[in-house]
Amino acid sequence: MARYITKRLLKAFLIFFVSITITFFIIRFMPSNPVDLLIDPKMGPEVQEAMMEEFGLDKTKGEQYIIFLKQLLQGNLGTSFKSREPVSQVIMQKLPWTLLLLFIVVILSLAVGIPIGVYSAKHRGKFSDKLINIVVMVGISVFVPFLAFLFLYLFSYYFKLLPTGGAYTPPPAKGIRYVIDVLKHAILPSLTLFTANVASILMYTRNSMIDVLEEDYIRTAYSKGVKENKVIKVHALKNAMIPTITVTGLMMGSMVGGAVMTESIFSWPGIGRLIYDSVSALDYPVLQGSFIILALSVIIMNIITDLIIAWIDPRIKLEG
Amino acid sequence: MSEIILDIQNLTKYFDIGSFGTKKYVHAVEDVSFELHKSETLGIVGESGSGKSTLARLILGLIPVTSGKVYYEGDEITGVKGKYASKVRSDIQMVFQDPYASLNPRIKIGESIAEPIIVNKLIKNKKDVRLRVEELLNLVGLQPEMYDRYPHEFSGGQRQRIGIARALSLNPKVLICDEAVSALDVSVQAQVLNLFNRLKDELNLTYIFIGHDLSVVKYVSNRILVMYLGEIMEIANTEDIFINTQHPYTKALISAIPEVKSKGIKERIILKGDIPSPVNPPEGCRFYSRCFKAQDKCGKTHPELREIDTDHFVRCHFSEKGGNKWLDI
Repeated sequence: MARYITKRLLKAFLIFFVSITITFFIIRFMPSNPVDLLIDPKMGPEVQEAMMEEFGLDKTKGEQYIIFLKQLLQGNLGTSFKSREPVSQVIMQKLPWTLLLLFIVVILSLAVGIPIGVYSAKHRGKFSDKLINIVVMVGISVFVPFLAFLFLYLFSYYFKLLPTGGAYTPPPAKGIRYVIDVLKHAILPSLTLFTANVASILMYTRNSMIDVLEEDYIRTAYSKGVKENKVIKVHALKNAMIPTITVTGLMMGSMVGGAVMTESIFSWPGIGRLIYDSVSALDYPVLQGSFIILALSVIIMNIITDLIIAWIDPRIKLEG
Repeated sequence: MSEIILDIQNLTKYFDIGSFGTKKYVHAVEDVSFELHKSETLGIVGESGSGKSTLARLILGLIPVTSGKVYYEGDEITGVKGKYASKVRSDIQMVFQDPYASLNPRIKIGESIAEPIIVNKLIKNKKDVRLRVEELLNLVGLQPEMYDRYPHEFSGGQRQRIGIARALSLNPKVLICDEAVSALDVSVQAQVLNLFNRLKDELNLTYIFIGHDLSVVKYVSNRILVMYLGEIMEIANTEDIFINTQHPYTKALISAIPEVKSKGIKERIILKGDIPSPVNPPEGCRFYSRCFKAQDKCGKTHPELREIDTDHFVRCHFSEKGGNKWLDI
């Protein structure tokens, strides 16, 4: 076990290193200059050069990379070009909002996706299953921004039930009213992300449940006289959960990086929106920092997923 | 002969495979009748697709019958529900084919064996359940300490012993073994077959032993029933089946048993092709398309199951009492 974790962590570190290196260079090869966006072109070239020097952009890319790694080792993510605040501070302001959204969406998707997936597998081929399948196909194939605008139009513009964007109505209220206000703002972005995610959780649960229900040991369970609901709960569900857990892990990992489009459309102040804004402003350090958070969360979620799967499946041994 | 414990009457199962309004049925089991006597072992043989496993599942009530009846100790058990059904379920148990797939990989084998006891409320006290399971493990030749292990830690033969222990957990009177040793190596097969024979004497069990390998079935059975395409072709005492073979299909199955002999190696009858599709079974004799003795008549008229000797039934136009010379080739 200890050996497995050490090996796994070493691998994770390597993946992390490679991914931040790639993003570092991709960002810096963008065919544009961040300084041009920050200052008036009429200002003299000296000002521009001074700024370049301040941001460290006058050095070669190789030198910049070395400096970046050095800073990273010290836990320093650099300073935002745009707001001049430390990147870690900027990200820490945004991360809780993304996590809130993620938490709501994952809980809802699992709570809805798993029972319906199981129901659908149980009634395989029947009308209800076919109907669920059609809805799932729509959910998987729908273009998320389209869905977001549809919800925005319906609930905020047409029915005027929900706020159009942001995370709270400024100035922020106090106590329970603030919580309600935030939740109200969270409904539409959550609903959008939920629709996209619940479909895949439902589909994976259904398909793997169908496979498991055809296993011989399910027939054995029935022959023991175990009732259908118990067969499904005790014998089938545990075996069928592995694909669902894997998808959930991947989903959570990538959602920490923020749902860029959804957050931007609803002006939700999370990491996704931050990435969008930083791309527009060519804010290299913030962009770099966001990607580090994203890579970290994907890697961590992968390890956690593997550990959970090994925990429920005794056949998987965690050995190097 | 001793009293009848199971009486199967005209059991028929069609599977509906039609889609979009078309009517298509797989004739899996057709008009099967036989009696099972107390403490005998009835072997059922036939190649893949002949309906053996479906027959077993029909008897157990795991799938609904299309028509026909099953009587257990004189009472009809087809389609019964409720309390009586669970009594029947515990009295007739099944050992399944694939010992690798029929154990839930996520559940400790002890718990797997204990489950029927708990579900059917045979023993209430948890400690007593564990003791009973350990006793069962002992009975089938496993160590009681294996209670807390998972299925993947066992070999094929051990897993089949677990399957047998599970089947025995409800003190059954009838044990249906569906290809119970087919997935095992020959040496392990022998051990498990000996276990079956020992348990039969110790627990006074009655067996239905399903297999495709006649030599294995012969080893444990008192009577043998030969099935082909959902129908009974021949049923007789084991000795009669081998000495006084009446049906060409039985003859072909017997000839397929490998023998250790240096002289006078008998000629093997190789059946051509595969078992025909049971979706639209041929008119006339079902074995017609592959029979090495087929006549014109066989393709047109469907033969009935006739008793040609005491307790010896055959479904063939040409079989007759005493003589099986006509089968020689």
